[in-house]
Amino acid sequence: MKKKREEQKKQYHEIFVPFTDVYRLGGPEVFKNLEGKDGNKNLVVAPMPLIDRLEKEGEQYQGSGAKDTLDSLKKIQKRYPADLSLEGIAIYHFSEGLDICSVDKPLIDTNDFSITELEAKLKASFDCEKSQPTLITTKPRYHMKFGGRGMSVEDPKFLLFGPDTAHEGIIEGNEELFAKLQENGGKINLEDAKEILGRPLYTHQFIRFTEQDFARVSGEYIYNRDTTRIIDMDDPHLKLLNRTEKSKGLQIGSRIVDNILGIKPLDMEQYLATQYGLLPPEVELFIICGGAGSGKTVLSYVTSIDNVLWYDEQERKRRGLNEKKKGGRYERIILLKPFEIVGGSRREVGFLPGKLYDKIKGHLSSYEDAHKISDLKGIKFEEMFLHPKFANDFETMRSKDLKINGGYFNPHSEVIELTYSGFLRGRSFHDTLLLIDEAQNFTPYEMKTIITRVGPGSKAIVMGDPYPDQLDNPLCTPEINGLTHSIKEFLPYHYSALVMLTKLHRSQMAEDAAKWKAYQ
Amino acid sequence: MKSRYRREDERQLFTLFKQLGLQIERERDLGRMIGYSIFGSLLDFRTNSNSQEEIIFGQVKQIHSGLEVVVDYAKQKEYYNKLCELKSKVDPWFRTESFPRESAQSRLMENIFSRLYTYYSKSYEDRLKRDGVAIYNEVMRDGPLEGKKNILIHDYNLIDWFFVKGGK
Repeated sequence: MKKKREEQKKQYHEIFVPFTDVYRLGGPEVFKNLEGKDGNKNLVVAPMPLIDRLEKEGEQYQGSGAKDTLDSLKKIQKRYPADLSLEGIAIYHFSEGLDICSVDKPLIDTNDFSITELEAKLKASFDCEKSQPTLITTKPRYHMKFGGRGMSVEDPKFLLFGPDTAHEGIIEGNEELFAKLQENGGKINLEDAKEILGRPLYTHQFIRFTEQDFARVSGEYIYNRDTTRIIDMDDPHLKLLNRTEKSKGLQIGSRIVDNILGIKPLDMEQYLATQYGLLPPEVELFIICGGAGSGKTVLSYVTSIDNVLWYDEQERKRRGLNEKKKGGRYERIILLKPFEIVGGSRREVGFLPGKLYDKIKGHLSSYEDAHKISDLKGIKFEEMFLHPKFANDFETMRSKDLKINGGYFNPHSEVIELTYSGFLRGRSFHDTLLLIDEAQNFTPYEMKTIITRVGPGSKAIVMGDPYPDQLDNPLCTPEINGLTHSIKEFLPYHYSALVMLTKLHRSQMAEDAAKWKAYQ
Repeated sequence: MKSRYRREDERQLFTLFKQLGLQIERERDLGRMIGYSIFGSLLDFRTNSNSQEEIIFGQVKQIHSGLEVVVDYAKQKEYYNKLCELKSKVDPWFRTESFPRESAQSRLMENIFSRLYTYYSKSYEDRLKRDGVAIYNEVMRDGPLEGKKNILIHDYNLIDWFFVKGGK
């Protein structure tokens, strides 16, 4: 009997037991990330008690990672016949590099589930090249608990992209590269630049040489036939920014202006973010990072409003828009905040007294501040959320004939629609400017599902602080969150760009609070 | 009347970074100053001791002293001059093949250099900046510490974590 069981023992390169927090963070993508490489085969173990917990957590907490993982497991179970040769274990073939197995009675006691017991049973049932199964979790207490028992516990490395990634937008150059650029009329081939800098470079990345001297990675876009997708880049090169750009004048179409709705970029970082990230439509995903007071909200807000204003024919021509077609570059703005911040399971917006706008305006204070320091200050901030033709959730209609900067607002819809991450199912956004705020409070999986909603003709602006003083989403950490994950995932694409605004924002009070040991 | 002793008055990375942060507006400039200052200070480290603990503590004290000098320059709005001075000390280590690297006595500096030279030999400036920003944010989050020995151990471990192990 023992010989038969040993013959039946499956061989794996590594065995993983991800905990529920990993699925809530990464969704079913976790399986792909744990696949074996170079011909190796791994095993992901899903014990039934953890599956039950995942289902409960999926109901309790917002964010679709848990639910989508369970749906994915159900699909896998239906599509791939299970190998039931081992008692209490059902093994499903996910891919050449990965099997997934569920573990149930009689192999484990589901009423009194023990990870230690599970590990022992896994060692007895499978052969693993790495000596013991690896538990994967972000929870410190499990690292201490099971690590202390000599078990192998790891963070989900495939989700670990720390705040350092935010520095990829503007990197420090070296003297050799600067000299080479100057020798070659300010432009060199991208491969040469990579060789000199000893690292990969991505489209729209900036290299900083001095306070005022920057170079940018650029090229000629190659589109598909109906020009809806960027396929490649022709003549990829690194080019020094023109000296005239040091004046921070913004080019909008054929005009140079020094402000957008009264807001001027205060330094080169803000200028780069505005000119090369917020304004250009070919940058379909722009990630702007910075702390409070860095200017990311102000700049994102005014450029977004400017992009949805309906200008006259002449101005549309100047901006490179279709002169004959009325409307802004985008139809409207969708402002997306994390569910945990605005409502969700812990704070029910509905129970608060007052109109909806009064309930949520606390969460929009940074936008209201931006509104009040711009040329929009003559218009009530609330008007941005009102519909021109009927009373929406905010119980009133927008005032008629509001004009700003020679343009007027879309007569058919709100200027800004506020929504929460939990309300995106079934929606996709066309010709829309999506402002994704506080991205560090989204899980990586949530961020992925948001960005998959961005349809043709749209632009997504992701805003966040990579070094937050606090994170409101209990699942997220500075190393694992939607902001750093989206930087890592999207930076290599030709349609994305990233700028970090590095003006120090830490308040004196925040610094002094760090000294405060509340437990003394 | 004795002035009230405050935890933050002890020389440590927190107080030095806080003072520096008051003078330098941009986090990236702050990161560069910190990165270059740490590396540059360790270049000057000398010891006759055989005690591991003394050697470790000596290196941290050297870094603290270096940062104090940087703070003084920054208060006079001349931190960029100091940065240029530090760069002239540090850059040859990476740019000159035949540079006599045996002169360093700091094992910590050797480890930092080894990592930078192996993985970031052409972009070490960017890496020093980023590691400087990372350690700054971590130190400010941790807050000040008490006890000289406690401070020296903590500061050493942080420098090792960010500049040698890359914060991972």
